[in-house]
Amino acid sequence: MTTNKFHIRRIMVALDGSPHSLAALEAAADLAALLQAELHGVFVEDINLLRLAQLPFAHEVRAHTATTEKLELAHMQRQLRLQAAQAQADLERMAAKRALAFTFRVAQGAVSAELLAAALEADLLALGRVGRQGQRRQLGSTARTAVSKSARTILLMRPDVALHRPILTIYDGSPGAERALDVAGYLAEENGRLRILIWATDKEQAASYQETITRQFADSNLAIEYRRLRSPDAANLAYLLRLAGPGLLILNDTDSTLPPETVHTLLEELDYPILLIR
Amino acid sequence: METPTPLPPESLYQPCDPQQFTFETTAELENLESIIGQARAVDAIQFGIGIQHEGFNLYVLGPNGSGKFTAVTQFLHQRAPAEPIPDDWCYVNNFEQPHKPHALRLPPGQAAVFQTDMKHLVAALRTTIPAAFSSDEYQAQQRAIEEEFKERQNQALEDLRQTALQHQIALIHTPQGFAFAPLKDGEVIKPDEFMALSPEEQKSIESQVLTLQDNLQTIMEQLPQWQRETQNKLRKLNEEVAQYAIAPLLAELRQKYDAAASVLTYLETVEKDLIQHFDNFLDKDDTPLAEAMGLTTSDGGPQKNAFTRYQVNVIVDNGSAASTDAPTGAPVIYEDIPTYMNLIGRIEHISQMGTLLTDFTLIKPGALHRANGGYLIIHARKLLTEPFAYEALKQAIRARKISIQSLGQIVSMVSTVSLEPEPIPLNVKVVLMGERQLYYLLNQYDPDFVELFKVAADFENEMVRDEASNLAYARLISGLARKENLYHFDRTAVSRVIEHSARLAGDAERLTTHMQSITDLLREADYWARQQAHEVVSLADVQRALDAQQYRVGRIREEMQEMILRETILIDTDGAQVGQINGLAVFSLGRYNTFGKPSRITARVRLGKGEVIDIERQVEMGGPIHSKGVLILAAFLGARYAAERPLTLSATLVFEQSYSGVDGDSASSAELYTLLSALAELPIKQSFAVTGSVNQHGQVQAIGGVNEKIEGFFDLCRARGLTGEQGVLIPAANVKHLMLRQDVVEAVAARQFRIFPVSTIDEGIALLTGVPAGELDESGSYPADSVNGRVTARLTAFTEKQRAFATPPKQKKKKAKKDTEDKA
Repeated sequence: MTTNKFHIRRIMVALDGSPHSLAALEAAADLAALLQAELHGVFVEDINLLRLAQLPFAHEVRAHTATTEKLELAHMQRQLRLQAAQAQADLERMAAKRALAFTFRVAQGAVSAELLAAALEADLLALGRVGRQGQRRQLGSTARTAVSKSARTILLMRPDVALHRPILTIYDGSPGAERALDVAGYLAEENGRLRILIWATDKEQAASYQETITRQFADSNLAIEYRRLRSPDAANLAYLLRLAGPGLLILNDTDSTLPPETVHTLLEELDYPILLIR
Repeated sequence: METPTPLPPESLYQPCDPQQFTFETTAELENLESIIGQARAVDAIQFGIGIQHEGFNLYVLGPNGSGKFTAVTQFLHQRAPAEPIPDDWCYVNNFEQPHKPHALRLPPGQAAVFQTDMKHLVAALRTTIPAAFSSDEYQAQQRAIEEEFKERQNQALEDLRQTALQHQIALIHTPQGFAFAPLKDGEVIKPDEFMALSPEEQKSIESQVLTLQDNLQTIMEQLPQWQRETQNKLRKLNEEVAQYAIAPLLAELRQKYDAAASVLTYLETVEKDLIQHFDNFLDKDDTPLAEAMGLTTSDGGPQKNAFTRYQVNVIVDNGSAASTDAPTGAPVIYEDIPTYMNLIGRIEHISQMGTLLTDFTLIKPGALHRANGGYLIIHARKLLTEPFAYEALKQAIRARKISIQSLGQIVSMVSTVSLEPEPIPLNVKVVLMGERQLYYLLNQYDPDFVELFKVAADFENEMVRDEASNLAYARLISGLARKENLYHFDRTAVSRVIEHSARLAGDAERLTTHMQSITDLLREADYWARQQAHEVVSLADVQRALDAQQYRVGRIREEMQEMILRETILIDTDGAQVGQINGLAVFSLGRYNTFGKPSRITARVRLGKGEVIDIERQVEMGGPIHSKGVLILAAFLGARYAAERPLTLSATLVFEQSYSGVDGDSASSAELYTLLSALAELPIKQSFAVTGSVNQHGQVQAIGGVNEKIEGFFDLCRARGLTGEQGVLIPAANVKHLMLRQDVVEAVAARQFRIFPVSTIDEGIALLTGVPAGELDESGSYPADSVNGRVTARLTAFTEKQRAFATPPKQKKKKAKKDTEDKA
């Protein structure tokens, strides 16, 4: 295997110090090691925070004491610098563990815009499903923007579910699904468990898809589980994926017969790590 | 008055006739079931053991070696098996107050079973509890509770965010919390743009932000409350799951120990504690730090400490099949080393990082625990020499419970962590054994003793010697031979042992009950029989053993005799001397080493104020009994010879060449004889030695050690050559005590040595001087040539001189002249 197969040579990871971003960093580092790719970290100083700190009435409500304190620009800047330093330290630690080449930089501006810009320099953008804003299950705003506006392959991570859990993917015979399956097979080789949802219009086609896939992986020692998807609606899909258990879901949303709204609903609702191939 | 005649040889030794026995050797005899010659003591023991009231504990008194221990243990071992086996006891954790462990009572043999059951319970829980907590159902419930909290929090924030957005204000996550920022075109308003707004607009925004901040703060303040609620829900879930896992196992135990209420109560607390501490049973990453520091022990594994609390510490196990000495009835315990801790039990500590720690598993039982419900035998002297032991024992008996306290606590010297185990009810019969003196001392000085040891079993020193007791002795020998694996004794040997027993009793009509001496003699005789390749112990072997005993301990005796023979110590055995006599003293240097030795007593008289000076007393080498003897003889002297006039005599009495103390009054007759000799100026035959005490009427009274004294003088005379003149004067009352050595008896039979029984001083002095003592005639005076007459004359002369000294000067000349005549 070479990096050329997936065309991923540079991995950009968005760092903000949240548990989700740490998970993204770890997954990105693993992936970089696997694909022999470069690892680039970016930390964005949120311009909104700096602006807020300059407003005369700006106060913050502290999370752990529930007290209200006046916001000062200098204080805010110092806090952001500290977060950046912490992010850099995390990156260094992860990279050192895997002997990876890495870079780190700090950008200032609107978070989503800066990340989209940074993503242009890379083949894959890794980030947390949600940012520091909390523990929502829905996709964070930054992630949502990245999914909808970036053309790059995107890895959305959450804590507690590592990259090498069982790999899940959806196969519908489209070229996009083929690519997703390739990647899934490649990543799954590590632990040998692959769970595939087959979406076909009828039984025969599903059987033929399954046969094709089985042939494709005949030489590997993967344990592949198949499940047939009867309807491509998001709720059904989410239900079946939950049944398949937590794992990394690999999808292609650009070159697939799956309706894009289904994919987006899945991204929003299914609290699994997702690798979105583009 | 008749002069006493020498005793015939048959009075000197009362042999035991072997012909009275019908057996050949003791092999034909049966063991003696009862204890020989101790009817009174045995009755007392029977009474003391049988009576079931507080304070009726026993003190068995008698000299060491008299068979007290054998008697008591034999009796108790006969009785105890018929009594009920007492209950088991164990200590378990007190979950509420760990420093006060609970005591549990269980039927005999059940404590060990319970211990194993609890061990199995913990082992079973180590699989069932983790299984319960790793089930999908539990994990789903746990996640649901956690999610609920998150949802609630997020929902509250989300609602607020939406409200804010309606006013074009964003809720922004800051590094340390949350803040509200007014928006413009979807971004936070730039500061200069904000400043460009009209003051009204600014104010409106500010007030909106302020309201939102207040709302946010309210939400944040609620968060800990919600968190607590979540924690409570989680705990309740955990408890439910734990209880569900634990309940069936405990139900099994409850059913098994249905009868023991205390165990059921304990299981109740165990269940509560298990539910509270269920997480101990879940597999956790054990802290490697603790292990590295040695906080965990190797045998129990790293989780030992967590499960120790459910262990059962068996203190008394009265029925475990594993223990070889499992009692079949009430326990009979002899505590050889009755230290405080061996009696009461102790609480051990283990050292952890320099700190001494303990818990209920380190409580160790004492003799009282083991003897509870039965009998405890202790040597009184050992008990009294162990610090605090006697007090603790009394305390336990009186309180009827065993409270384990460390000695450190009692003397308040240690302030380390310690325990107060729940006291265990005590029901024990204590048998103390010891010397008589200890008993009387305790009786006198310790009021508690009188209260707690109400029964005294007093062992006799000797028993009456008759045919029945002879046979009993023979059976005793038979039993001892079997018990000690000795050769059996033939009847001549038995007779010799009985004779020796009489000699040990110091009385021809008594036998000793000092079993140890007899047992030792039997063992030694057996040794000599084996040396001689005999198959039965015979008379010769017994005699050999006795001779060897005497030879082994004979160094000092022989050395003293040699000093006399070489005239370093002056003792005459022939000739006659005024104011000089051979007294007899007994030296007792250990059990088999008692011997007699002659001692020269001298007296000098002169004019004086009527005093008899005991030189031994003056230099404090004489004991009180000796002084008493001297005072008595002085009183006799005064009353007999100077009843109606002043006794103008000054006499001195001394034991010559004595360099250690003298006590006893057995020399008082000898002292009186030598004083009379000095006064009468009649020489005493030095071929005699004298023993006997005297009373104020001049009667000679019995003394102790008569056999040894006679033999002591006999040995000296024989060494110098027996003349037939030599002999010993003994009190007539002592004749029945004579059990003399065979060579003495033979010498008397051959008329080479004589033993005179003497009843009065007059008989004695006549024998010693060869001059009649003299009896009062009708005029109230003694014949002038009799001893008494000469003594009276001498005392009269003293009185005359005294009067002469006291006469006024003009009469002095005449007086002086008379004195000169007297001297001539």
